Amino acid sequence: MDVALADRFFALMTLAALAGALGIAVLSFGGRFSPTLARWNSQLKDIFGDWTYWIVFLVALVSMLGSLYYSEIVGYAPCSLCWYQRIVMYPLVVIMGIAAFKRDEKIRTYVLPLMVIGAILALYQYIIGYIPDAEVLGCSLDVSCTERYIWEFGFVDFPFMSFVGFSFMISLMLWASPGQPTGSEE
Amino acid sequence: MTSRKKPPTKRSQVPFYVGGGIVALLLIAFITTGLGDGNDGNGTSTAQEFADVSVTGTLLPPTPDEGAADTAVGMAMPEIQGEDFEGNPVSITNDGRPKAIILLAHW
Repeated sequence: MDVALADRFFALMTLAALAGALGIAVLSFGGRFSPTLARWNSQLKDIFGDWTYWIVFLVALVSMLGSLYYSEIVGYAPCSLCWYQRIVMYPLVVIMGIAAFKRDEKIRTYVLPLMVIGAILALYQYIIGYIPDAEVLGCSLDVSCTERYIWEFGFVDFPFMSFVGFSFMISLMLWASPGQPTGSEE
Repeated sequence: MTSRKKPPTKRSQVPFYVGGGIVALLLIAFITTGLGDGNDGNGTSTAQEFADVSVTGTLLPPTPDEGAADTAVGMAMPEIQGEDFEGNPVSITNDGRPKAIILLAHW
């Protein structure tokens, strides 16, 4: 796969995930004040609710395969902060795969803290990309935490992709789960 | 007796929505990166990241410790020939004018 094509494809996937996360936030919070948004939220939950864990699994899987593609095939060395985010993301593929298969709602308690940690690390890395002086954790000089290997649409780099991925998974986990009643009539 | 097929519900079509969305994004990425026409999708030619550099002449001695005399003062610098991001030749030659060569990394 051509690197420019992969960059653009993963950036577009990131924008789609961002739209999904923002859409869920708007429907969930707006639904408290607007009956129309509440109805749309209920209808979407009715359609996607049973699939949310599978979608989270897919997000984790694409994130893992994407990071492995860039490190093992393209040859970008992962920085220390990237490794911490990998440590959080990779187990989610297995955990969410099993949880989706078993429709295990209790998994929320275990995966949400991991996702929040990953999102915080990614957001921190995205910020120090703009403000290198804000770097306090200390990254290796061999592999910089602030180097932008890709830069799509003027704001999408690896930390942004990671942050959006974790945020989308968090919003999906909080939004709906398999078998959860939606309140809509069909 | 005839059996009627149950029409697919929207819920059961979710994998097709998701799969179709991913394929659509891949197509958009393919079109917008302009593969095959040497274009990066932004209307400019694809830039090269690396190119060969040749150095001719005598290397300058290492920078001395603080306080010691710099024996490189007055010596002619080596000349450098290479390429820029677009493949155009770039050279830093001994044209009689003083130069400061700055090597930058952003971290």
